[in-house]
Amino acid sequence: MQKQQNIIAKTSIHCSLNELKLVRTFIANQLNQIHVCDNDVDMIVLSVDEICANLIKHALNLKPDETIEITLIHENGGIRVNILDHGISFNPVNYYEKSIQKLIHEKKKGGLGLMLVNKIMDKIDYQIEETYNVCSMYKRVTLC
Amino acid sequence: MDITTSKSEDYLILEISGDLDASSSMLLDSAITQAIQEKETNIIVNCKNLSYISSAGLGVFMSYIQDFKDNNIFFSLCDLSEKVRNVFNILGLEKLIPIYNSEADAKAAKHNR
Repeated sequence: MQKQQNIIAKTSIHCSLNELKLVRTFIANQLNQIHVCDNDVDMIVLSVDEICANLIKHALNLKPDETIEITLIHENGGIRVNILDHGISFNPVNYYEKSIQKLIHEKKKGGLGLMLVNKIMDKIDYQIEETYNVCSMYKRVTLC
Repeated sequence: MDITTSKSEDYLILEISGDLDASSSMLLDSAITQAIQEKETNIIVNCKNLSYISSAGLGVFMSYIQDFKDNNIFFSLCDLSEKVRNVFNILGLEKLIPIYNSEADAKAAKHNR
């Protein structure tokens, strides 16, 4: 089946955790404009926040000159979000999830972000190229 | 995000407001560390003005579960919006961290323990 894709919006942010709030507001505003239901908006906003926070902290090491590009696409009754960075490659598809019980026992604060994204999104792919990486996530949504 | 600390009867109340994400979670981490260091044994986090939580916030709560057990500390959350509570529910954390509708309910639960 041929993909029906319509780019909704693009933005780019600097590599700073203070930019996360801007990303969340941007994604929510764009999805509200095309009448995506609130719960789906919240879940997509959270997933994008999680991926961007991971990139900022780990792949880009909080380097202020680095940027992350985010593209929102309306595709076959769902939303695709492509997140492009030029940092250290990391493939969350191959990420080994520890159990929550193990994280509690080890008193870990991290490890829940990708768990959330994997539960929320219907599909997540990671494309590693020579000079950039793209995390592409897709979720079917309901319009209200 | 802001945290307001107050005492109510034998309870330390941490009232958090705003967005709890990767840029602000260390504030919550510091507040809980301080509460444990000061030997607080009853801690309630009031979330009525918490508008957003990401895994960074969940992770802070999760990282203290073992300390709360080891030190017999009553720790609970209360007054979560549906949106914030949904994030706890995705990973089943509502089964690991007590969540009540109100401060009064949290205190009653402690009293009846």
